[in-house]
Amino acid sequence: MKSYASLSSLIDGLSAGEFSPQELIQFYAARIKKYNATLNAVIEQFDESTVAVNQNGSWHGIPCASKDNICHEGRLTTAASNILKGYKATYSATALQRLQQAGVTVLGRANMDEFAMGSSGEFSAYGPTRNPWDLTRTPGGSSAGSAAVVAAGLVPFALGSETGGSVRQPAAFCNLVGMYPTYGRVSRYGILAFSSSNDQICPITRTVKDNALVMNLIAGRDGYDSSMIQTLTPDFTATLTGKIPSGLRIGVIKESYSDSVDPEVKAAFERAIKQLEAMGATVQTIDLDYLRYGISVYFIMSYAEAASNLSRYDGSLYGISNRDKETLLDMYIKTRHDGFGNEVKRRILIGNYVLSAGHKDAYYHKATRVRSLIRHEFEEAFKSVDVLVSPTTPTLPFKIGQFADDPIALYLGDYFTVPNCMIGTPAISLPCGMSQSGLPIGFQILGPRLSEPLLYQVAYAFEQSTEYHTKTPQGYE
Amino acid sequence: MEQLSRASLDNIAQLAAIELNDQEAAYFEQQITKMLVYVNEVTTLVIDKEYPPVVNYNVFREDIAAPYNRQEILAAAPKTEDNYIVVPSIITDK
Repeated sequence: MKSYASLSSLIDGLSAGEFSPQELIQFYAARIKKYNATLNAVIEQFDESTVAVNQNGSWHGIPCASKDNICHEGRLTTAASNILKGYKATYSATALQRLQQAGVTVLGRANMDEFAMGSSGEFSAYGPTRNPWDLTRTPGGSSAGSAAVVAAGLVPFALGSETGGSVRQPAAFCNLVGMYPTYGRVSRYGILAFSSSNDQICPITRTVKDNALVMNLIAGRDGYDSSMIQTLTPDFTATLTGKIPSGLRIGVIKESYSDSVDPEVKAAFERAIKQLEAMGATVQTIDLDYLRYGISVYFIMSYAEAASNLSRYDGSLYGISNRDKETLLDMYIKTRHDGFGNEVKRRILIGNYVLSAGHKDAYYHKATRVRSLIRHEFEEAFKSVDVLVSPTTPTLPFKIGQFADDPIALYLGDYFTVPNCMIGTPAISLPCGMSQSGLPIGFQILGPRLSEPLLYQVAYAFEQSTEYHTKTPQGYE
Repeated sequence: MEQLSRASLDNIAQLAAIELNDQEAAYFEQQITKMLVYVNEVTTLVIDKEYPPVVNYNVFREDIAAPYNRQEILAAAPKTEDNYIVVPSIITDK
């Protein structure tokens, strides 16, 4: 069995009887056992014989990992936070349930930044995840474990979640494909909420086709999430022709050429643009005036939502509880003091500040108005181009600990991934090169609402004309 | 935006229901001040055109109780008694 077989080839191999479901699952379970200690990508590996799965599903035998903020019935689900230590989910997230229904075996829960707050995986109560391409570097975050475990070939795909780049950025750092779908494509039922108006469960895979296949399983209406799109879900593999649509108009986000983008990232990105031009696309630069406010608006809105969403963790219903003093309020403030890490505390505190009397208009309400401006500007841009492109991240994968004392510098890495999350439009990140030192580089394709079929089409055509996605890190043979 | 005062921080810590000791308070005063300085570009931005927020619509489903396992849910709580979740008293006589 090949260590880096694509998901689609494994599905074909199963249906052709080349290997049995049990052989496949045991092969990957053994790989996790062998390599996870170095990576710390999986917090808990499940005994494969105890995992619930539909043995009649067409994907029976396919393993995956799932981020620790996605509820999995009967299993520990902690969002990598001490405050949820010992919490076992009493139901499964819709996305995970649909995978199980199709026959997928969840082999473990993947490490992450606590409550999905972070972009390096370092803010986990379980310690940092390491990037298989360079163990001194971060795999990105917050879906750090989901990306690392796929990059090392320990599972063919994983579920992550994204609020402002938490799937696309780790995909770029690990030479993988990550798709943030249109808000409302995938049910949020069963994801531990961080910022409900942005959160989405997303597939992380090694190829574009694999990504579309997983999206086919998890997308679509769910009665338990009333914020979902009510239109029918297409077959996301239907547009994978290997060709881009004729006359495709591509807009390059102007800041892609900024000095704050790493020269090697910029060079790889420019080669990708040339490649797309050679395939027949026309390219122009698009200047979005309000894009620069994206990070600030994201801070304000997502922290405000987090302050509200995380108020439920107070020591009464689940997780840890500090009852050293005798009143209810003491239990709340001490449990939350003990249970949350500094990054989560920082965001909850700021969220309360921007929502508090005297500040709400200046911060929260103002941010909602700027969010609408950003949405309008993107809608206008999509009248003159079909898709927008940019590097996924301005930097190469950085060293673990590099931004320990400078959270703002860390947050600026989300410059290109935050804006579309806030307006709920889809974007896909895929490999477009390697640095001289052998670190992966990704770029992203953004489209208007419901444009996933187009994004998959363009991404697939690009991928098939290049070799980047075939490269794998050394040491995981 | 000036340095966030200790009194302001104590106020938001109270709203957030998070206890902070002196060392933590000093750390968060610094960190939060930096963040608020950064987002000033939004608070000071002059908006001359308004666009509507995203249009939402209601989605309904039948209001049917789904089965659940009371014991599993109770098992997640730090303290229970019979079929109740136990928390410390809200009011004390002190």
